[in-house]
Amino acid sequence: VTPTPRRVPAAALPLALALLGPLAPAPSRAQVLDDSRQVTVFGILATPDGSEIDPKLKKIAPQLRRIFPEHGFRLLGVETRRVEPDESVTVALGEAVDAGARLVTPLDPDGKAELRVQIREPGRFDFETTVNTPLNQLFFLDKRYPDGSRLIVGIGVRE
Amino acid sequence: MRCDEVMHELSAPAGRLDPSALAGHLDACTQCAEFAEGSDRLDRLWEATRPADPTAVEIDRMWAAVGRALESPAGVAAAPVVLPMRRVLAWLVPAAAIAAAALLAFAPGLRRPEVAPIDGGGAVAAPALAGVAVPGFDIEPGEIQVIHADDATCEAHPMMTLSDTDTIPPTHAIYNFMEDQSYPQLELSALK
Repeated sequence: VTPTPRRVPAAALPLALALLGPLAPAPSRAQVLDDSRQVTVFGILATPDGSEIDPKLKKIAPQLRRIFPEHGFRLLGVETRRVEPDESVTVALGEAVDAGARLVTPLDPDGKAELRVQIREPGRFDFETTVNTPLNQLFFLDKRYPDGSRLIVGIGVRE
Repeated sequence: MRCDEVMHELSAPAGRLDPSALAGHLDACTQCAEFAEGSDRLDRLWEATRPADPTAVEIDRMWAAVGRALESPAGVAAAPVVLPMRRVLAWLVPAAAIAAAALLAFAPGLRRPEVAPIDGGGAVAAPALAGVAVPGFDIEPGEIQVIHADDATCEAHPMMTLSDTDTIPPTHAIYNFMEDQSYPQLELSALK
């Protein structure tokens, strides 16, 4: 079968221009990116002078050891989810601790996401603050315990 | 050759990297090799599931319908829908997604901010804890910050800066790993 040349009605060009016209000016990032973000929250217990690595963390043991030398590590929990503004990702870190991040602003004027982050031990400890973070970049919260161990909460946001 | 350059080339091939050097990097770098494998699997998944392109006949019918709609006194809204809309939409939606991805990739104003060099550590004190909340923190690109919940201070972690031997920041590896732990595994058994 020989394809026949396609006839394009003359009226189609104005229509196409009308449809594509609004795309001509460069839209802002906020116009192009939707408001949802992939938010990841995880918790690790780092024990000083420990050599034990949770088997689940074996693959990233070299990286963890570079960041927190001479520590043992146990994965307490991890959660990643796509959320809309005002939605949260929360992860239980053991029986009495949880950490979470609520997406406040998906993209601020500096190109960062604004999060409300929290570490909570009901009745004992409650830390909450706002963090403006670049996308695709981890930051950490930590809390020290009397025995020298540290709760390390990692949080990151992607487009 | 840095891992991010390799992954960029694998994601959007543009011939920027020497093929032999790229192959050498993939032989030596487990992470990039895994990324390449994932990219190949995604390509196979796309090829196996992509909707069929509209035929020339369908495109002609679509343009004919557009022409009729424009020539109709009642305008576009009154034009009868004679197209196999599901098939057209199945083609248009991926096309729109590709166009959006291209826009994001190449429009200068839409690129993600460049990562600035890490300018060292040093604790930055925030006001003391007042009740349950403290004022916020603003993290710059490329800085890996640790916020100490006990005293509401924030510092750049010196061990997280890139060393001479690093090809990828350690936190990137941790970030990717954690996402992998939480995501349900995509089964591509049909493609294996």
